This record gives sequence, structure tokens and C-alpha cells, in this order.
Amino acid sequence: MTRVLTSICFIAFAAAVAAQSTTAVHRSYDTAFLGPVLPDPVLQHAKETFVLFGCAYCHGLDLVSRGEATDLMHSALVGRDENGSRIGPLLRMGIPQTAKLSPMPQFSDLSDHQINDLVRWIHYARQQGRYRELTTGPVKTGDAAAGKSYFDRACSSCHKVDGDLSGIDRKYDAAALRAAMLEPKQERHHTIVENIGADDVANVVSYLRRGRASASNRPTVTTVSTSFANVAKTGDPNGDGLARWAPFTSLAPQVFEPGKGSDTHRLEGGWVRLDTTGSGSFGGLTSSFARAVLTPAGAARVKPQRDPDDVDPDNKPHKAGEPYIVTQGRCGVGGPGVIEPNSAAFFIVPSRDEVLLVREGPGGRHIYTDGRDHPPLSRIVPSGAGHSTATWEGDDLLVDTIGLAEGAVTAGGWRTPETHVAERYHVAEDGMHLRITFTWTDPKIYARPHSYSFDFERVPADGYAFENWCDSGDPLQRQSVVPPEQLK
Amino acid sequence: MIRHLLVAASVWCVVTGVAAAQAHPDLSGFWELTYQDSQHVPRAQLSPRVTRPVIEAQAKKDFKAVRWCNVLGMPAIMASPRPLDIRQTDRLVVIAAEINATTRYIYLSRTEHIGKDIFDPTTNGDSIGRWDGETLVVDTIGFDPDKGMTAIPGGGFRTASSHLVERYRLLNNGSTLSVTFTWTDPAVYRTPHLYEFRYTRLPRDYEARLPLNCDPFDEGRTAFLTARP
Repeated sequence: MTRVLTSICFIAFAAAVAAQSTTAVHRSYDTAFLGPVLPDPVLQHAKETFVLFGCAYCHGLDLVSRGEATDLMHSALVGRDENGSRIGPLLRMGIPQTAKLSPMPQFSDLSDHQINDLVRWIHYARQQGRYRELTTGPVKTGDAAAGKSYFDRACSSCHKVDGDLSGIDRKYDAAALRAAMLEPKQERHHTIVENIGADDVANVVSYLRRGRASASNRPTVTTVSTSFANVAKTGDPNGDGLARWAPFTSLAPQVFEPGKGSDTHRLEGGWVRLDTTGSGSFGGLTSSFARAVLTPAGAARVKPQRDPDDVDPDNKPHKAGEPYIVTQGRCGVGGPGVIEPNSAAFFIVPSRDEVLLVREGPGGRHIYTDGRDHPPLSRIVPSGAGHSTATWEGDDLLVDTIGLAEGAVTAGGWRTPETHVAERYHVAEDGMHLRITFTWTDPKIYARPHSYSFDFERVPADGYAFENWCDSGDPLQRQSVVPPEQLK
Repeated sequence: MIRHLLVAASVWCVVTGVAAAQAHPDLSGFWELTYQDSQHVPRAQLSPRVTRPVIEAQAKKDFKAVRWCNVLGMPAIMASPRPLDIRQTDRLVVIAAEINATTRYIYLSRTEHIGKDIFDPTTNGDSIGRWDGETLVVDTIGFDPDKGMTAIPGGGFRTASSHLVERYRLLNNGSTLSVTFTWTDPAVYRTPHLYEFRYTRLPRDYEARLPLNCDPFDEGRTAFLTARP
């Protein structure tokens, strides 16, 4: 049956092609001069009419005029014409000879239908020609103020820069914006395309891209300090009180796909690690985990690690109450810099595309659940959180992470950016307990998967997040009354 | 029979009514502040008590926060130079930034603020939210007057008596997020100070980047900050 249908379709298609070819072959005039047949038969007929009545002889088929004939491409009268309102009477009356122009004969016997055909072709050819003319060459830098004036006069009845055109400078570069503005397929823009001048085009483009232009003049933000530095430096929140930010890469605004909001999920909420099985001691708990079994190559990579923020101790005991300076007291962006939660509460926020893990400080761990793959390792900057994707298995969240910075793993493990760690988030039947099971795999590091679990208690429903305060400028933050390890 | 139909109709109305009530816009996504739409912040009408010395003293506090990489808090987080990750559930809206600003928690699950007797003021304050039709209305008090970056766009600064109301609305078929901020504070403003920021939704395949680093012991950074304007 399928084969029969396919045959019928093929025969019909072949007949259609043959009919098309026949039409082209049997034309009685120079098809090379007319150019290829237009897809729109009405327009094709108009074009042929323009030729048959001799208009193309003087004015040019594409309105590139010959000799002394009026330049229909740039004629102000043609630009003001609406459906033959001005061209029609002129055709019927003709134009007497002048000092500059040859006369145009009267075409008093033209029917309304024929005049419509001629007018249709003239406007079509003018729009096409002017589009090519106005979009060729680099975009000149225009006068944004003049562009605004033009925009207000000619565009604002349909467009608003802070409405439908919001972010258009991010969607298009200058040349693309110019082309989109003049695109003849947009019927609403026909009058503009036929009448706007090159200077006005440049001015409007400058106006629509004014945000981009001013942004490009601003210094690129490389650190958060420069972001807010102007406020801090000027000391005047009234003036340059807004942050300066670099424009993001030219990402087109996305159209929101309406969907239901988040489901209430059992994982959602605050969790805190109490480690009751470890008697409140993190070391006590992890000492009960099975030690990682490493390959020889993996074992060779393991090396002692030191907190880079630790300072060299003065190596002498202090009197009771006299603090030791143990760290630089560095504050920076914190957040879930590691994948294993510590004693601070953390919050799981599931949404449609992502599960966000946040704490009581800056940042968050982004776990993508939209089906994306990990990017190539070459595109991941190794970090404490790596790159995580996840799927749901019933109520369990299954997370896979790569791209972790090289370093130690709980219970004698080791990791590199290539290492995978799988996490299973499972909420107990009572809804009050969460278990996260970590399983590390890496054939270069582990002789077999390295696995262990942490348990968490649900933060009460009326609980709320605190704020983890850190001040590098506070000398107390560098101190500890507990002696450094080597002095104990 | 008619009674059964009426009961069924009533149940249907209740069910659809509840469903409609729950069908709030989903603000979840990555949002980037659009500069050109957000720079028209009107100048705040400051109280006569906010004199030049007061402003300068507050600016010194802000400088210290920036200099020492303190968490910045509101309203600086909403002017983050990096995209904001906003995630929404039925009970909570979370706003996480890629800068050193504490994550914002907006609780939809309660209608009253944490009591002043137990709430320690923070740089973000205590935020509760409710839906007003398609608009999320967020009410925040409990700001710390000394910690973080206190400057408010357009003038003024947050204090312990600041009260902020934000209205979050999706525009342009969900591709734009409009947030209007209205600050009231008898200690700072003569009239409510209102401005709007707009954010553009980033593509769904956007990959969050590592947070902007802030190193208080970076000598180059320190020199930049302490140089004369």
C-alpha cells in the first residue's frame, strides 16, 4: 500500500514539474530578460505587464532607469503612492516633455486592473532594489537622537523600544538589525523601505542599539569588586549608585514555554547533617566508612593537602587565652564549594529544569535535570562542585558529576576532573530523613567503586535560613584559641 | 439526579478553582539584568536628615564591605553583573547569584515575618511572598544597617527600619522579568522610592559559571579600590 501511494505521489510530482517546464518554454517573450519565474503568479503577471506596456524599456525592469526616464527607484512621487493613488492618474495623463526629462506617453486606455498590475510591480521592484541598496556596505554610525526622532514619527505606532523591541540590540548586530528593519517581507515596513534614506537608517540603528553602544564604552567587569567599585569609590549612592555590568554574550531572549510550576517534591526543603551515628563528630562518622580501594596509579596521585588559606604557625605555645593566627581570614564567594554538605543546613529547591542546592551563604550548586549532557571536560573549569546533571527515579534524585578539582575524597579516595561521582538522594518514608549515597568511579583511580552515605534531618517547616557572615577585615576571623595541629 | 449534578458541579468548581489558584507563573530560570531597561532609576526623595555627612558615612561602610569581600546583600544582589538563578516552588522562591551575596530566600509558606525578638537582621532581611494574580509580591524587613552593601539605586541606603516591597511580573511571553522595588523608610526617604529593573531570561541551556572571585588580599584589587577616583 505504501509503495502504491509513493508511486502516485511521484507521478503527480513529475506531472507538476512537467507542466511548470511547459509553461516556461512556451513564453512568447525573452525569458532571459524577464528572469526566473516568480513564485507568486500575481506578481509574475504584474512583472510581465510592466514589460508588455513598454515601461521596462525606459524605466528598467528593476527600476534602474535608462536615459532620461524618471528614476522610479528614488522618485518621491512613487514613494508617496498608495495602491496607484498617484501613479494611476499620471499614467493616464502622461507627462509632457520638460527641459530635463523626456515625455511619457499617455496610457489612457489602461484598465484599472492593468494599472494595478503596473503599480504592484513598481512597488515590489522598488522595495527589493532599495533593500539591496540600503543594506549593502557597513553600517554607518548614526545619530541616535535623530534616530529616536525618526522612530517616534514612523515606528512608534507599532513598536516600543521598551516593549516588543526590548533587547533587540542583543538579538541582532548592527547589520542584522538594519536588514531586519528593512526586510521587504514585512509588509508593514513597505512604506518605510521605499522612503527612508540611508542616513535615517543609520540613525535608527544607532538609536535602537544605544544600550549596546554605551555598554561597550564601559569597562568590562572582571571581578565583583570592580562591579561595585564606583559606588565605593565615589561615596555617593545617589550618583553612580548602580553597578556597572558587562553585557552578556549576545544571547537572544528566550520565549518562555508555559508549563506548570514546580511540583511539591519530597526532596524540597531544608536539611541538616547531624551525624548521630558519628556521635556528632564528622571524623567519627567517616572513620566508619569502608576505605577506598585505589589502583596503583590512583594511590600515586594521593598527596597531603593543606588549606591554602592556612598561615604558617609561629611554632611556639601561647598562653591560655592568647589566640593563634591560623588563617588569612579570607572571605570570597562561598556557596556549596564542595559536593558533600557540612554541618551547615542546606536547602534543596527542585524546579522544572534544575535542582538548586543552596546554603546560608552566596552561590548555589546547579544540578541540571533538563536532559542535557556534561560539556566536554575542556570546557569545564574544575571546581569543588564540578558539573552536575541528574535524572529522577521515582522520588530519588540521581546525580552524576564530573569536572571536580583534583583533591582528596572522604575515606581515602581521590578525584580528578575526569572522576565521576554518582549521588542518590533518597527521602525516607517518614519524609523527615534524607540519605545521600556517594559512589566514586574512575578506572584510573579506583580499583572498584568507592561508596558511602551521609544522613540528614529535615529542617522544621517553620525554620528559615540564617546568614553566614564573613569579614576578611575582622582580625578576629584570623584567630583561633585552638593550637595549630603541630603544636597539639 | 439534579442534586447529584449540583454536587458534581460544585466539586468541579472547587477543584478547578484550586487548580487555577495554584497555577502561578513560574519564575524559575536564569535571569540577566538588562542594562538599558534598568538604568532609569529616579532620584530618591531623601529625608532632610540624610545629609551629606550621613551619606558619606554610609558610603564608607559600603566601601569596607567591598574592600573586604563581605557578602553584599540587598539590593546589590539584584543588580548582579552576572545572571541570577531564580527557582520557585510552592513554598519558596530562591534567588542565587554568582557574586558574593548571600542567597535570598522568599518564603511563600508564611504570611508573617519572623518576630523581631528572634530574627537577627541580615543583609537580605526576612522576605515573605504572596501571589497577587500573576504578580509575586515580596515584602522584606529585617535588614542589617551595617553589613554588606547598603546603597540603594537612585539614592539612600537600607537601614534597620527599611521596608521593601517588590513586585515580580513576567512580560513578553515570559522572556522578560520585571521587578519593581518600592523602598519606604522614614529614616531615609520623604516619599516611597520606586524603581524598576528588568531581566532577560537566558536560554534554557545556559550553564551557570563559577562565581566571580573576590580576593581581599589581592594587591592589585586593593590598589584599584584605594586609588583616588
